[in-house]
Amino acid sequence: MVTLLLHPLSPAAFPLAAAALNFIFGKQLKAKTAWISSAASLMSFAVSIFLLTRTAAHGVMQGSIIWLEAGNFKITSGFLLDPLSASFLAVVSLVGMLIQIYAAGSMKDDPEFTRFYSTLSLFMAAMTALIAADGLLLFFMAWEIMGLCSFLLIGFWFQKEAAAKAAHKAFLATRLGDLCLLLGLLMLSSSLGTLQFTALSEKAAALGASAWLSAAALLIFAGAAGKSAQFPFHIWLPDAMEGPTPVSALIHAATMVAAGIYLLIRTFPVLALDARVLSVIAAVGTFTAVLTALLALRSQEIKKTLAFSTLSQLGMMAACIGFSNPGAAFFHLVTHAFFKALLFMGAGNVLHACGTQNLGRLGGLGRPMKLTSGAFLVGSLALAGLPPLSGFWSKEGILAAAHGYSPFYFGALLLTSFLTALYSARLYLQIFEGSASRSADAETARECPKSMTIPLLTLGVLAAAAGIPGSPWMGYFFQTFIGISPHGDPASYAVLAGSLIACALGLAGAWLSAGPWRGLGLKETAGAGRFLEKAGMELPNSAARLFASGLKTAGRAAACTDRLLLDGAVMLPGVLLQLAAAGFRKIQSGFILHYLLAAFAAVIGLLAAGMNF
Amino acid sequence: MSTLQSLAHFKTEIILLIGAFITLFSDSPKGSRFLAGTAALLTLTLAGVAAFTEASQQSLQLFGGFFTLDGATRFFRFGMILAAAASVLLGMTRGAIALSFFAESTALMLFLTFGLIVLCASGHFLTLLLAVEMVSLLSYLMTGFSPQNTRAREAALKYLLLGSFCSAFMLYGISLLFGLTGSLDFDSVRAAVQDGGQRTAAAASLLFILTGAGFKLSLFPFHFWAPDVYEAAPSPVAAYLTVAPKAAACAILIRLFSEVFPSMQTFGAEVLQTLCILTLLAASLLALAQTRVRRLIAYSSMAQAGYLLMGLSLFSREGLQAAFFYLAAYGAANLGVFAALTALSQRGTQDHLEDLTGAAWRNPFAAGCLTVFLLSLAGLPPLAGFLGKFWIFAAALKEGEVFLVVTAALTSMIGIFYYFKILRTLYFSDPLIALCAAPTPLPLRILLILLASAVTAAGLFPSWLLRAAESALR
Amino acid sequence: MTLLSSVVFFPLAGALVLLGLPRTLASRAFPLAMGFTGLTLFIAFGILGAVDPTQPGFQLTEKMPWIPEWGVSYHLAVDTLSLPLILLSALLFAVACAASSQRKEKQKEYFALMLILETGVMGSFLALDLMMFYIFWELVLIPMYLLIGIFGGERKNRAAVKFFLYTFCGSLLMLLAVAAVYFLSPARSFDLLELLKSPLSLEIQRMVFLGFLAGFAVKIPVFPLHTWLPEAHVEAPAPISVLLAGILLKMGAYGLMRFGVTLFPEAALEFRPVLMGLAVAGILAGGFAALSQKDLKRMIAYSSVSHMGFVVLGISAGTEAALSGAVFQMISHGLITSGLFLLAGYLYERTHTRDQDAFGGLAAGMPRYAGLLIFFSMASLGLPGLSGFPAELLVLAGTLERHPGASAAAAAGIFLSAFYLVTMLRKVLWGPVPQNAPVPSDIRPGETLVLLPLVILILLAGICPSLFTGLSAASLPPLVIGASNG
Repeated sequence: MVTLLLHPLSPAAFPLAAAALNFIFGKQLKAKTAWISSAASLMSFAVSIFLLTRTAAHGVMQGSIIWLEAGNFKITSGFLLDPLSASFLAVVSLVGMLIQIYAAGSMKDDPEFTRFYSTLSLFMAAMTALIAADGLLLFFMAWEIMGLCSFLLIGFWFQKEAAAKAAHKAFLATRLGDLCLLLGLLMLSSSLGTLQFTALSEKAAALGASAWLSAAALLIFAGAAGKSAQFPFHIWLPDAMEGPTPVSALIHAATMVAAGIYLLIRTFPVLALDARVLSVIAAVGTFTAVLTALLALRSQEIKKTLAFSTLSQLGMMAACIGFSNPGAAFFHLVTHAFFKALLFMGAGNVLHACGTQNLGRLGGLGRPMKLTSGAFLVGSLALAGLPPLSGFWSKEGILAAAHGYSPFYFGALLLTSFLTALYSARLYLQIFEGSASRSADAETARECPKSMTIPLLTLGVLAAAAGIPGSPWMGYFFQTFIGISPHGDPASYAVLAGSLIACALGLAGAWLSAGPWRGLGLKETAGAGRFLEKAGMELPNSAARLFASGLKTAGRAAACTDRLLLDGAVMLPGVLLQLAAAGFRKIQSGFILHYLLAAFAAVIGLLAAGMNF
Repeated sequence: MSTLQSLAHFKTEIILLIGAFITLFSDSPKGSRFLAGTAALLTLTLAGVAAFTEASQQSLQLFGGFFTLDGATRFFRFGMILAAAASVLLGMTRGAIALSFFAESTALMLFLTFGLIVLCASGHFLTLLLAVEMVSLLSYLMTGFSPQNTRAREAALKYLLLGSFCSAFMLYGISLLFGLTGSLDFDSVRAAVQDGGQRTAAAASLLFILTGAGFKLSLFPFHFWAPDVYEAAPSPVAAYLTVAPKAAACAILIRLFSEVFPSMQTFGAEVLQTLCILTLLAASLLALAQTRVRRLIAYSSMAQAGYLLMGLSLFSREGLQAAFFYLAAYGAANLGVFAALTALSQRGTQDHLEDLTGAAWRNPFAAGCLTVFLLSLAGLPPLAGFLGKFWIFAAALKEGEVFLVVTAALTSMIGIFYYFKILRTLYFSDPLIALCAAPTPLPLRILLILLASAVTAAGLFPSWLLRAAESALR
Repeated sequence: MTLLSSVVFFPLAGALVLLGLPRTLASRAFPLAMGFTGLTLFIAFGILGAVDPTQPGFQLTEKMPWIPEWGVSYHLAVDTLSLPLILLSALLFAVACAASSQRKEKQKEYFALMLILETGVMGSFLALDLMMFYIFWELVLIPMYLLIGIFGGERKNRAAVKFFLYTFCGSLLMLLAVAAVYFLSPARSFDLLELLKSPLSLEIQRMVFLGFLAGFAVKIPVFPLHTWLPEAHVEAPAPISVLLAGILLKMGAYGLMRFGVTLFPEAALEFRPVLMGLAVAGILAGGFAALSQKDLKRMIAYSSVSHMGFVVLGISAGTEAALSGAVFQMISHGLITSGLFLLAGYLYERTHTRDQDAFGGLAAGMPRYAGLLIFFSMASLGLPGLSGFPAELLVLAGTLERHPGASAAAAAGIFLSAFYLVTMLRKVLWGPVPQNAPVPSDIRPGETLVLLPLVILILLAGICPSLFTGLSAASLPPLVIGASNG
């Protein structure tokens, strides 16, 4: 029994059981559902820690069964436990547990409490199953169930029209990406014969580059771009903020959106076959990073800013994979999970305390909410990349990879780091510093209850310390442990100096714009800002709306061709027959003379026809 | 064979004649149908038994060649008797026929049966002519005889005029043939025509004779009498007239082309097939626009005559066998339709479709039987009509008559439409005014059960009917 | 062993008993009907037990001469292609019967017609004699015509006549083809096994295959001939739609596989690109048309056209994976669409309207209903873990080897289904409750119980599909188009 408990798929089994329990006995359990879910995620975290130590000691553990077989088409699904999946398992279950404890406090007075927790647990089960998946099949199945959970959780408050629309847009955008991934997956299985990650790399290397494999790789990237909201799929993430804050923290910051990057890391051998594919990924990643960093500056709501910041960081990770250094991307993925979840929780606390997240009506919350502001400060500085916090080390890895790849991308990512530092520090200053006079509800703000602040503090510690294992002080222990790709040229001072300067400039700019030069330059940048807004968000949004209405008009066209053309074509002979029958009826005139004449004419006709016999 | 010996084989016909006279004089003053009805049924059963037990299988030339008793005659004779029995049984139900006229009409029907049997068995053009005249006169009489029904008299007059017109042509054809060959006996005429001396004249005479058969089968140019007669005549008479005369006409056609004009079969096939296609198309179009039930049934039986003709005109063994099978299925189904309509009808023979709305919920049994008969006529499995139609199509395809088959398929598609127009009114809406569910009288209930089970049995286990059709060809 | 004959004729006996029921006992019609359909399901499971799924040939054969003069024999047999369909039909008949427990008037005729329909369906899945198959094939038409006509909605007359005329014209062409096969093939008999022994020449095959295809294409329905389906579904009551979509459509696909592909392999091979084209057209046209439908049932009907397009794609793609996907899709579509139709029916019973825009925010008042509707919609759009996904995965994989373009177009079809289903969910279940909207009550436990077997089977098929593909795998190789039929 024990070995069964410690099976790589058991971290997925516990939340699944919790989800089922909550779903079936939801009515009776009421508040206790929170504890069941949290307990389940605690169990899965404990098991994943054990598995982490086991893989460190014994190395890779793998097993699979034949899921579907027909003729020469065979698909297997099973589990793969290597350092990469073990560590990501630990990170995700830890963050998941903290957020579920946090959610107990913030969702306490919501009538649909049980539905929230059963869907959340189902999501955790899907995420952990995805991480432990040995091949693209189980990965894809968990991937789509996560899509469903995100759909249900974004639309949790379904009475709100905005939430319903956001969920609808999110599901369809990711669904489009998923179908590209499905096609790519099938192309791989038809040419390489297998979908298992380990076998994938050997077979891909053996087969060599081909148009078929490059097309499959691009489709896989499209799938990842759908889920990780890369350009042009990035339109659904900012709207996804309609969901409850714990959902945004867990799904739309730490785990689900990161799954896309994890997919790219797993299928890196196939992507790396064709350099053009990598360059596409790098280009899309960097473009998303820069664009969304600029957009983050413009947004006036805390969660929207954090959403754009997540887009930007994901863009950087994707770009890093484009620079063929998946290790650094994964390291940034881990640290980002910690400090982004922390920032979202902080935003949740602010929202919980004073009911609004509009930056204009906030300020001076530092004093009444000491703990939250402290943790939020650590988080935003980590995001900004201030050494020795975790953000600095992981971002420095990406910048090193960019430096090695091409100076243009290095410059773009430096600009992104500068912008990141700028908006994250400004965010902190606008909420917690400055005079408290501006908004009435800022006065009534009080610190949130214990159950919400403790997870916040633990994440604060993690955000600060998580970078150390990957830093030179511990000899890049994390990268070597993951073992995907060795760290770039550590000693290049240009990279180190560049990231330090970018971070310093960003912080200084934020301090100045929040302090003495408050209103300066707002008007001039407003025009550029509006153009950026239009290009960055309105354009893709309207493109999506155009695509949707295009589908609808095609639908109307199909329906009316059905009704008029096809139906008409079949009904036409019927109508013609009715007319002919009505006309033909007249020959039954009722006059005997007509009948006799007709008979006589018939006889004559027969005779005439018969004569040439 | 000399007349005395042949009388021994003439038992069924003699019983029929005697029975007819007895029913004629058994018109009971009290006005009950029982006496006349039982007399007729008794005669028919006796005649049926005699026909069935008439042992000899080989074909005989009775009365010096005037009456050929072969497989076909036996098949038709038994068929006629069954049809007559069904019509008499139908006549015995209240409201089917005016009481005062019941005894006479049943007697006339027996005479008509006798005439038809002689017609089927004629081996000599004189017997053919006499039988045709007898049958025609009797049918005009029976259509128009019912006392205060003016529409019936008008229909009978039309029937008379058109009928005598066509049989005049037939007479002319036969006299032309006599002029050519100097004799009226089938065998000698065949010998004369065989040597192909005056082919065109023989062809002309054949055409004239065909008009007579065409009139009896209500083929397209000669069908004008059918809707008026079948609508105006009382139900049993109309039922009998749609089945028996058509069967006799088929018998005559087969006999003419197998015994008298075998050499001109290709010419005959061409003529008959054009007539068949014209009849099918005309009947379907006319039925499509029809809302009066009886006239709809008239056109449907015209279309069925077209399918029968399609089978006959192939002149192949499968074709004839399929035609016989189809004739039996059609006969039972058409008699059934008239019986069911009498059970369901509101305004006697003048029913519009609207009068039948929701009839199924008033009288489920009769409506169920009507559905079975209509589906068999439409040619839907698992009923006899389907097997008959399938077999005719298959035989035609075997002979390579693809165009004929395609038109027949097209007209059966249209057929679905008008048969289902009736089904739709029966089932799809509830009865308009809350009519009392009139229970079907006992004789009618028995008749319906017999006919419905005959049609379904022939559809599911057709081997017995196939063997009968096989014997008809010997 | 007369297991097959009993599963075919037992419902017919039930129908006769019901028809014989005196009018006073009309209320007993429902329990009786449940008894008969339940027992047929029991016999179907008996057949499952008696059949060895690994053995490819025909089993439990029952053969008797029926019309010896014409070479027609009474020949029933089951193989692993017809076995899953028999089980699906028996189950869906039981479910449809259970779902019509609320029927108050004309129950006797309603359940009797349903049982006759079941006999027609079972017979056509088991018959191996062409004539017998045709008779059962046509036997199905009349009860369905009457069911739609008598118990249908407002424009039921037009829908019923259209349904009948479409299918009848198709099967009339098939009748000519059957006649042609009987006369032109040297084996003077209707029996499939004899006919297979003596293949026809290509020209004859080409012509006759078209005849058969006409009959089957109308029923499946293949793209241009599908316009009768939405109308029939909109007018038919929900349980009847379950039978129509769940089973009758599968008869066409089964017929194509059993008779079309095996008797005329060369013609089928020649005709394959056209069939694939029509299948893809069906998927996309069905999807797009469903997109613009206001009426809930009409949308589900068009989605059935789209899903059946997958089945035709699977059959015509002609690889074993695609074929197994086609069979899997037939079963999964049967389960899923039945659920969707029943749910649409429940909503119609409560609100007497099928217009999607009339509802809104139903999830608040009807949480159980919302959960089930989301479950069945997700299954329909192919969410992994539910039966739609393995079916579409197999068909896509199978078609990819043959023609990648078709596979991509089919994937687009899947996205379309996601688009119109999620839009429906948003319109019906979520969003604010409009003021004058009817406030329906949540579905009763009885109604959920009817849907339970469907839910369990969909989950089972989604989680471990090898159970179902294993069941149908043995007899698929000879059905592959272009396979050397060794």
